[in-house]
Amino acid sequence: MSELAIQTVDLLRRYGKYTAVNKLNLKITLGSIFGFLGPNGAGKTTTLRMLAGLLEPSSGQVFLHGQLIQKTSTAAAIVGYMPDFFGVYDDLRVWEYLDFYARCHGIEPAKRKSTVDGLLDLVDLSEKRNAFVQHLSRGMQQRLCLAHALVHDPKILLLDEPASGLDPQARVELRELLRTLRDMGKTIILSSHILNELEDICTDFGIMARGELLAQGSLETLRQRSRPALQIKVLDDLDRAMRLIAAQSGVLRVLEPAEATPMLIEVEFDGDEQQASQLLLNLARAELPIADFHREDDSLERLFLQLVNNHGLEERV
Amino acid sequence: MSNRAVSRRWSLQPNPIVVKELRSRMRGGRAFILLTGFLLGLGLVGYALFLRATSGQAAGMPIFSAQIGQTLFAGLAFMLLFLVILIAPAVTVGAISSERERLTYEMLIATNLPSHRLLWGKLISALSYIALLLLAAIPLGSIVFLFGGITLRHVLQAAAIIVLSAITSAMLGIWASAMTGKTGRAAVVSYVIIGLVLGGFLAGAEIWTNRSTEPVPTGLLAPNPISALASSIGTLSGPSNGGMITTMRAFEAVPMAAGGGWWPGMNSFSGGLNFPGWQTFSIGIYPATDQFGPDGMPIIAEPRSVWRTTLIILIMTCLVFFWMALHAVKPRRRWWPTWGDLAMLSVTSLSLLGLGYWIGWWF
Repeated sequence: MSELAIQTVDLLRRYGKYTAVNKLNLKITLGSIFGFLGPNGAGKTTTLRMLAGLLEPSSGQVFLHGQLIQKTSTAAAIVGYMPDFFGVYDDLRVWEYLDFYARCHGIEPAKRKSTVDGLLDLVDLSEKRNAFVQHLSRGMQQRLCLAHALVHDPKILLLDEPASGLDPQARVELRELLRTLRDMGKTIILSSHILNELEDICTDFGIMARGELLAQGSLETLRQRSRPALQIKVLDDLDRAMRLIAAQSGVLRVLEPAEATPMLIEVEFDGDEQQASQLLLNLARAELPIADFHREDDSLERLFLQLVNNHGLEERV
Repeated sequence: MSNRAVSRRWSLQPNPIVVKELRSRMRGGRAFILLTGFLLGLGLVGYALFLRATSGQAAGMPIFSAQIGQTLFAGLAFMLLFLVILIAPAVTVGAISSERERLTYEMLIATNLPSHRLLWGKLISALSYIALLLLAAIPLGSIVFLFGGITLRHVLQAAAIIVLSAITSAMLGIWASAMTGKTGRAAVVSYVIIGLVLGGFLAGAEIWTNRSTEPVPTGLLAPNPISALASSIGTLSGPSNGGMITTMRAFEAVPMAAGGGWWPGMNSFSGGLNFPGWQTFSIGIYPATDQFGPDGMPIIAEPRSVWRTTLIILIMTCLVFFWMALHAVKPRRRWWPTWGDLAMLSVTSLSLLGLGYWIGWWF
């Protein structure tokens, strides 16, 4: 357990009859950057709040650096938490804002100034030291909020949607900042719905849907779990096309088109290139109007969609 | 470093909430405008009271300096009581709820700051502003001493009632803020409770007086700071024979007939305490007896002394509000009793019992 920064054991959280997080068993290694993926309502924020000690689990346990979390204060000493939506105190200067959180964490007066200065330097806000926080741009406030989570030098950082609402330039800056923090030895858990952002920076991923952890591991591990796929777009005669595709060799399953793309057929396919070519030829011979035919890439986004869609199908079955 | 060590390390430092609130509260003109308005209002009320107290002079009525002093003192004391009771919740109703509303609450409770330090910080920062108002009013209030007619004992009693009422009122605001989570709702809850306590008990005492010859029960007087202040001010000595100012303590005095008595509210010589509302505020404080004086007027008994019971009620109310707010701000296991609760309950109960036996207020 000591190799793990975070471990949850059958973590469960209910709101009345609704189960927000269901028997979550999470293992996050020291020094990793863990990307938490999932659609809205998947239970990511609820999980992060339980990890931060802000929410009582209905059952199950949370271990941070091997320590069982039963009180908020125990988690507060280990974790720096940045919520998805946050506010700032009006009429406080930037340095006073960080000084306030340093005081709340009990940083000694002698160390407070150097801590605040160091953090302002880290998040590149030294020039805004005496500005009022309400006058900062959204990106600057985001960086200031990240700095507040670092004020007590926590071993673990929990960042809930840290890139939301940021412009592309600010996202790049945030990504660089997270890399710096990783180099400082922090274990970082961040949730996001901007999947390609996470792909570049995270070492491990967890995919959640409807309160359940569908998959967990490195990108390579997740790729092994995914099945290759073909995407075929027909302009007409969808039912005949789906029946014909399902009868071809190498085809594992033909998925129903999504509502947003009613003529796009996704096919789970483990055949070789020869079989793919034969499939296309057969569709053409059947005089089906094919507008697009391609193998899907192995992006995180596709893995994510595949896992989430499969989970939805399994639930319906 | 362990949590205990961290807590010990900063427990000697100033409360972070107080530092932050004072930094932000005193910025801009808002705090100073309110202070100026408060002093102007108080000054105008004082001047109006002075004019009223001396109005009979034009008609040739003798006016004693002490009467002016007593009227000013009583009027300003009630004015201060009302102002602090009304201002204190306005300062505190957003204490917890505004943190939730502006989405800073989770960031705050995710720190090492314990719940009780958070609440103390909010209370102290609110009270420090109320204290600033009260301290700023001292020069104005000290004008009373130019006229005389009051004792240090009365000043201290009034100060105790006003300060404890301010603390309770501030604590009520914090409690409502923590329980409701919405500033608007907390304000409504706070002011409805204040209205019920101040107006409800006075109305109850009035109804009792109209329907019964028995004295108004202490239960209808003691919970109300207005009645408490009236019961303290009611013991002010008025002019007696020859217009001399007596220094006789109320409880040592022999009840006098209403026509020639010296109780400030009933003194026909001076017209009583000459400010609007006194008759209402002092309902139930002067119980009538079934005896009549030589002039045929009913004898008024000595004023009811309820202010000490009021102080105990206010302290107890503060503790209950604090305890409930303390649990309401906890992120987890809010209403689980703790050893701290048991310790607080034990110490409070023993202290009150000891105080009760020692002073003999209750027994």
